[in-house]
Amino acid sequence: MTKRIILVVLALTVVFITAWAGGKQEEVKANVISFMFQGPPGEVEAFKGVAERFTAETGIQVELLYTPHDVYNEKVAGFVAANSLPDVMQLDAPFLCNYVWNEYIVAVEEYLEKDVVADMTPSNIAQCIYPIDGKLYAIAHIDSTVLLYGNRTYLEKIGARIPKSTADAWSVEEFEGYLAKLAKLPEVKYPLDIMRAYGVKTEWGTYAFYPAFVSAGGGLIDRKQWKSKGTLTSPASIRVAETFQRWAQNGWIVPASAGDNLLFNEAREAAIAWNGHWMWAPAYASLDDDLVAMPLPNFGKGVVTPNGTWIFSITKNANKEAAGKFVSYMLKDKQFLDEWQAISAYPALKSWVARYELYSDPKKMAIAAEQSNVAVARPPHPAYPIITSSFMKAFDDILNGEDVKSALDEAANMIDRDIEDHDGYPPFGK
Amino acid sequence: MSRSFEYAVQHHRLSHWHTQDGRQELLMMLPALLLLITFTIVPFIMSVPLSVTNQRLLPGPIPAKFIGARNFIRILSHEDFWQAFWNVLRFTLMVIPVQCGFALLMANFLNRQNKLKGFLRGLFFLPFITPMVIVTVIWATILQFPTGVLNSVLGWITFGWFQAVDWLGNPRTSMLGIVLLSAWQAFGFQMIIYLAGLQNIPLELYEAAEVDGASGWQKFWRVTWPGLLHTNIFVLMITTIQALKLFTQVNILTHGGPRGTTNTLVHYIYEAGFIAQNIGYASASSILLLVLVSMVVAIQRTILKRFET
Repeated sequence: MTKRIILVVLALTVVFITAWAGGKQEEVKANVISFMFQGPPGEVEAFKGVAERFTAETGIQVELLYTPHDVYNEKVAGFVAANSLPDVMQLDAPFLCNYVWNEYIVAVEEYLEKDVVADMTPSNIAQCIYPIDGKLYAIAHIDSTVLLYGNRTYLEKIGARIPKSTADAWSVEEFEGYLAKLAKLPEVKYPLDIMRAYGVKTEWGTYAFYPAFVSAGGGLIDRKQWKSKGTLTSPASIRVAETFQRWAQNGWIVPASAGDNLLFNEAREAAIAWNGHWMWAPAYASLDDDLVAMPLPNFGKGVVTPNGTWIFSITKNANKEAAGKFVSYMLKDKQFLDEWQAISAYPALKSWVARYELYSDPKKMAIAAEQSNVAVARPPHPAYPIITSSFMKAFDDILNGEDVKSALDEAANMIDRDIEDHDGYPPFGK
Repeated sequence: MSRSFEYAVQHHRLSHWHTQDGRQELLMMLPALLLLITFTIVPFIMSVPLSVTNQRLLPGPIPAKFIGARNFIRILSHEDFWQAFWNVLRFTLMVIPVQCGFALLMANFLNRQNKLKGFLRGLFFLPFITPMVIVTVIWATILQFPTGVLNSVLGWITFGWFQAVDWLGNPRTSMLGIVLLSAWQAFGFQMIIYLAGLQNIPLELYEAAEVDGASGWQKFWRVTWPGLLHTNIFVLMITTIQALKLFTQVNILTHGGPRGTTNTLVHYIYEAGFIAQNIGYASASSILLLVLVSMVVAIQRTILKRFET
């Protein structure tokens, strides 16, 4: 009997020691900072490289915390709950208002080197500012845009004209006409790829398609009253949603499980892709001069494009001087910027724009650079997480055949209810 | 077998815990009990007061406040919640014949083996001990449209008659895809239980059936199936409870699926609690989940009691 008790106690001790050792927190050292980020392999390599170079130069260790994109926000919530946010945290620009309102991150200007801050382009500054106090709460080296990529051969076959600028863009009626003609070409399996393969948890749905709603005269939410009903449920918004639904029902859109490279895979199964600037590099590698970059279509009131990307912030309990040093170093490191250049990143530092040919070449991505003039940021409001998840769910349901009006009503309902539950997120007002 | 079990149960009165044997049993159970209490019972008790507030997942500038039954009213009038409930019922009704039927088939097959029995048993049990996440990734490839394994094989067997189906992207077939995945992963568990049940059927019954000139099917229907009565009842209840908790596959593969057709109750709770970060609402949902699952299991128990003699 005693022997048995001793065995049980021994077993329990082993279990508990293993658990304790596994969960042991690292001691807080003065020269270690943690850096949380996401991204495809190319970006991850760039971060690893610059972190190593930073450590070599300053002696400050950088603990790299890679997190997959589609669970990023849940990971951040986990860190907040454990009160152990990383020192430097990458975040998606539209979530800035939510993080600042919840007091997760601090104003960064005093911790960054002056020349890096002065080097920011206007759109870059816009994505990093908290509207209530006008201070910089983050910094970035990149911005973003979404455009149309076309297969020149297919477009010539159907006699489509290639727009030269945003003023010249296709109207949505013209665009739909071309899609119908492309659908008839035997080599084209799907006329349009809107990257449904990216899924409904990665912010892509809101980022890529809310500009179409704004372009038609609708939108996600009224930015003065901060009410979604009436804007997301306006006739203009309903029209846009019905348009996309029609294209999906016609079988013109690449389905989610078919992958995300149909424009430039061997079979060239898609004719046009509605995708972000990052697609240029792999698409050009495969299609070469057969690839043409075009502005998004005009849904009524002029072309509207999205902007905003993953930006770097410093969290409230961070080692702020070290964190600021790292971010400044990273944004001035030439090799780091070159690695981003290789994946067709969209520059947002003036000195970098000057030496970056891809975005000034009219035969390549000059149109993408021009689109920043018609960019409309996503709603800068602490309720953004619920705005984006509700809209993405509604849009995905609509593409799958759900009744447009009730899907948009439900989304607007969710958003307005969340804002009401938070008493309007003061001081953003009711 | 069940009679001796009932006899044993009757003897486990409170006085049993004061004997030496009883104390040992308690000590053995203690670690598991502690874990169960800490990670299942205590959080659930905590969720009761949370369910009547608008508590957020993370602390924020605005403190949580009491809101009465508002969460419950919203949930019960939310179409998505009832769709999720209907989905898990649908899943349960589909997965039981597929999973348990396949498990019984494999158990029957294994029972006849002599040489390779141990090896095959381990092989069939392998999917069950594979983490669900890995299983999901494998099946994402199998169910892929248009050139995934399942589509290709079905097209090949039917000489091209079968058109590729977007299993997970089509609202009509998405749940079926999840059923196939889940049945494949978990059939090993039911198979082991059926094996034990099969081994309890006395061989004399089979010999008597042979003598009477029974065919293979008649042997199964007249000897095996009735002999598996209690096993079947047990498997039915266990599988139902497991099926009502469906979550991981849905969370990774379909996120509630095209137009909510693979949304489940646990996924609904997860979305409310961790995505919308509304813990009060999620707590209320989890209480309703307990109520609904209890109702389903109670109804099932009542019906099955008629079969137990």
